Amino acid sequence: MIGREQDRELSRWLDGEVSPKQAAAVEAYLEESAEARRLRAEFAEAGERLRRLPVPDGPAPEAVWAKVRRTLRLEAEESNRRRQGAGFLVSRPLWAGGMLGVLALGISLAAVFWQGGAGDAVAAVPAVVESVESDLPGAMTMVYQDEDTGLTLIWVQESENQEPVHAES
Amino acid sequence: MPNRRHTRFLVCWLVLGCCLAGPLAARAAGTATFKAVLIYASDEPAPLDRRLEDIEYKLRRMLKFAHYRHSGEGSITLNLPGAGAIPLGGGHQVRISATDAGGQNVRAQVQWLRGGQALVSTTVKLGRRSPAVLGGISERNGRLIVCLTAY
Repeated sequence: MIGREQDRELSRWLDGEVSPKQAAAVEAYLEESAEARRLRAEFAEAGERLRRLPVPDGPAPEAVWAKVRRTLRLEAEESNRRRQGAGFLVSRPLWAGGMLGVLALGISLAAVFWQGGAGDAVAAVPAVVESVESDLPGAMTMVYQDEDTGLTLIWVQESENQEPVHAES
Repeated sequence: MPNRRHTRFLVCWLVLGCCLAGPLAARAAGTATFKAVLIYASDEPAPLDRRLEDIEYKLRRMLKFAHYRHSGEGSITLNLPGAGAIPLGGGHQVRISATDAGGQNVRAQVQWLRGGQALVSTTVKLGRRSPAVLGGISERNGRLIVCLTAY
């Protein structure tokens, strides 16, 4: 009767997985045990049958694994592309808003300098008086333009008060 | 998805754009804003008033009075041509009928009224931000002045 240990040793010997010392022990055992020899023959026959079995069609496991890895890589790249595309779409309104704001700022500043601000900077044009009158009885009117201040003075001199209007200068 | 920072950034730009677009649209539509300030000029001491800081030193150079007191002010924005009135308090008001005078100028028929009486009636071509000073109306120990500016 061959025990489980001998059976395992025999199987390893057949597969060439034993040390020379163990191999010598197995071979000695085979010489003295007919049952061991019968078992060796069975193992050998089983191995032969296995080798004769048809190899199933299809890619090798390495090829399958390579395909999986390639698919994973492609999906990751696609995902990155989508994310980058989405980022651009998100940033586009921001840029558009920013550009509109800058445009509005520029136009407004141009308008301010053109209409108002420039007037201040380039010495405002004094007011030009075309006519003056007063309903106050006996009042006189006069117009005075002061070059220093740029002011145009439209003055009503009431009859009862003849105070001088202008400063000593 | 835009995050909160991006959204805030976008909203800031849009608000800025809207704020600037308003005045710009008003200018483009051919409008003029008139500001009138009623001033009591006399030799009576009066505290310095920041509301007069742009005009008081000019008045002091041109007129003999030592002190200038802010007595009222108002403004009106007119579509040109257009007319309106600026109440100044104390029964005073300024009526303005304005037309575009080309360039940056407006031609304004101005009436300074106290009650129903026209103290001064004048037609004047005003440059933007270039004031005309109407004055000489007796008031206590001094004179009343209206400083009219178009913007």
